[in-house]
Amino acid sequence: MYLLARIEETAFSTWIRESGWGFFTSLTLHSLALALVVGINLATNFRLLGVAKGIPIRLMGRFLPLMWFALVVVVLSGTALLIAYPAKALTNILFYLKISAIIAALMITRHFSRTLFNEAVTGEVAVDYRVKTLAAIALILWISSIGAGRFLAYTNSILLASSFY
Amino acid sequence: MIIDVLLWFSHSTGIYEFMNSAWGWPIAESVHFLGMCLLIGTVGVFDLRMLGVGSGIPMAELHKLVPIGVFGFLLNFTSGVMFLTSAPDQYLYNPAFQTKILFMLLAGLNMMVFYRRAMAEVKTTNSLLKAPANARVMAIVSLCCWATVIIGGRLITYYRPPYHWCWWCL
Repeated sequence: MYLLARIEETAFSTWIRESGWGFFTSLTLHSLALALVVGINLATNFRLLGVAKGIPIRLMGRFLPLMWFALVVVVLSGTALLIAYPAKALTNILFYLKISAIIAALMITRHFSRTLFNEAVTGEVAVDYRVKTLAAIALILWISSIGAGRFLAYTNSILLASSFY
Repeated sequence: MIIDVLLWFSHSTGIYEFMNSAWGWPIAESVHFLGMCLLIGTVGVFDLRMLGVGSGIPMAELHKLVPIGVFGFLLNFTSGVMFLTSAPDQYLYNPAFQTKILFMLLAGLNMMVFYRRAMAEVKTTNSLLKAPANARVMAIVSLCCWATVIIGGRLITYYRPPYHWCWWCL
């Protein structure tokens, strides 16, 4: 808790909290980029579950470079928000659930990227029940991460650690 | 006047009670964000494809994901009505909200023009190419509109001007 209070006292943390622009810019970039990250992943998993069957699965990886780029923006803006209010998130179990869900979902994406989105393969990729189960789990993980992210703003027990010192 | 009608709606449907229950507001927000992701992941991705991202994927086939985006928009519309009618004074006078609605209408108008003037040609465009120039312009307009809608949505909680700052809000 003392360490978190020290983070809150850094110039960067104070600037994001108090400049107005710093916090708003981080929050907005986080929203725009998460829409791309989660959106592209949801669309990919819906395709694997049988929606829009005409899209060749081996080409579905072509939107992933944009997804990884947007993920970098999500992580950077998320880190800025975390530095602004470290105790608020780090003392809330929902934060850890959210991060775990995102990491697990991204591991599924990487797995699909290596096994299914292989452009060297000619002909259509077979989607068996294991792929569909994984895609369904990924959908649930993404939806959970969105829910956890929203609930984080309402369920904090501590706002600033520095209020204890 | 408008406020009274909106509040009457939320009270008579039980929305007001739900939104003021312990987790009503964050549940509606989660649905709102999910809808946003579904919209950007399908309509936004289709716009990007027309501009050349992910070329090789046939546009006519990618377009078949759009109904999911329409479903996402319905989620957003429903949760949005729940926000608006539960706390109308937070929204009606708010320039961020007004801007957001304006750009949603622009996106809708752009979409109507797109389906009338450009979609037929886009569907038959070779999957290795970008969409024709007029469709690309509409794709850029669409992406800019939806980005502004998201930015406006985030701004709503930031800037709340005094009541009746605008004559058209009355």
